[in-house]
Amino acid sequence: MGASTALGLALLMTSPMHAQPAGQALQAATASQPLGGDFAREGAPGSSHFKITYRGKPYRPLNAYQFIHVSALGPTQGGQPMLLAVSNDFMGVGTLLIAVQNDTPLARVLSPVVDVRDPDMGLAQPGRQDLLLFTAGARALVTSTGQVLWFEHVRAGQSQGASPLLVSVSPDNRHGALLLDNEIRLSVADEGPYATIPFTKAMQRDAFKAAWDESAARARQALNEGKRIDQRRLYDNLKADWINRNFRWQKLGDGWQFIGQKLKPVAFDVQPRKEP
Amino acid sequence: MKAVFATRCMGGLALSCAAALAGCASTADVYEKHVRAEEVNPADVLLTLDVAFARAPDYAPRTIEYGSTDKRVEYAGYPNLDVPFYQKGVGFDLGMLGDPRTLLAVPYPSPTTRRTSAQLKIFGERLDATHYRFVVLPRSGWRSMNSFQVAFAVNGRREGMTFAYSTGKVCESRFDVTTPTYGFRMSVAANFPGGKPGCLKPCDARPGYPGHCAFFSGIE
Repeated sequence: MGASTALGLALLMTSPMHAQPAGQALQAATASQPLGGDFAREGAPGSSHFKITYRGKPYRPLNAYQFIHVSALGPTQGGQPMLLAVSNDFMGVGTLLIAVQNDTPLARVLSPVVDVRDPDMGLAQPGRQDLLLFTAGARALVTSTGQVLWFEHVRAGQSQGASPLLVSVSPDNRHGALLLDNEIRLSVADEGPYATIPFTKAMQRDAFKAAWDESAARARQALNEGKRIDQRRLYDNLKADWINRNFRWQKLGDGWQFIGQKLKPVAFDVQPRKEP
Repeated sequence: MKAVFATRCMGGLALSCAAALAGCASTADVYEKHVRAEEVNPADVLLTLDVAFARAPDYAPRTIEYGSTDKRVEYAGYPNLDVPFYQKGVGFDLGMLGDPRTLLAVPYPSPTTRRTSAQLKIFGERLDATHYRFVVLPRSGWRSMNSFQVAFAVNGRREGMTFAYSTGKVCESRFDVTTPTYGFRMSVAANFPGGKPGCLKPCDARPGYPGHCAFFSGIE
């Protein structure tokens, strides 16, 4: 007993001494790589883990400090580049967009998916050059401006139900189509759902059969190549792909409708939100 | 026999539950105390924060009362500030040498440092549907993390925006921000009473974790 305590004490006393040189070695090995503006990416050479710094100071958006992907998106805001970052899995954050507002970087959640082997970098919406769909989080990113879109699927007074997939965004970037279990719900940004398309479970089963087979085949092929991919997300993205090929947005008066498969959108009776 | 044992066990459980609940009733107030901005003594205020939400947050105020002799009041249902505090103290852990089952054990105290957190929930004063005024208070006996979160909900979607402040530096404490989860927009303006210097910045922490800012805040 006494011996083990002594050993424990000895370990406690010696471990910091051992740790220190290693820490110094790590410090010396980290390389800083500018990302444009005042942002930089730090990481040991050969490592795929990065830290973000802003004006030389560590920046930990939403308390995540380790990232597996950091890159400039292209557009700038406040004179600084916008960054696309994917956190390491145990940070529990996912894919983020970082943009500077009033001299302070602020992060927006794009995708809640945390997967180091197959990070969620969004699905380019078929037929659009500048739109990435993050199906799982019901969010989309306009890559030319850095605008983040989020579409509500819950109708006022209803429970959340199953989590939806954002499958398409209208050309004006204001309307989104969300795939639910038994329907496609159309939602307008900042206001919420306004119509439903009776794309039922049975129809979805038939329509997505090929997508399921393809996702399974691609996952199997990836496994054979020694990679791991998220087959569920691939399947979801293939569903979004199918819907974009079989439905199209049509401007009707003030609003937008999503037409396809000979299905007619049914408008919800939307009460304007009472000022609380 | 079994039944007797079960009822005894239940009795024991109920007793311990009651003890635990009694413990909660007397101490929860310390760890999470609810205050309304309207009821605050103006002399205590560290800063006032005026917020203009782009979309009106949910407003369904509720008051919940606990306890009969030792009353405790909680509020809910409308925008509030979560202000975190902490205490650092030296305490003792009870160490044990030997096996307590053999009755030959030697208990000994071993010194440790402890960190305890607490929070103050300060509910805002509603000026109109989109305008709220909040106040930030200090707490005697607790150390401030110079940070707080504006917590609110729009159509049931809960959101939090975290801020850091300093009472030593001066900066433009009026700006617009976009929340991290759903992208709700808001403009905030901080006023430090008595013309004292002060600075407010967004802190960009994860909603629910004010006090752990994205920067080593740089304004302290």
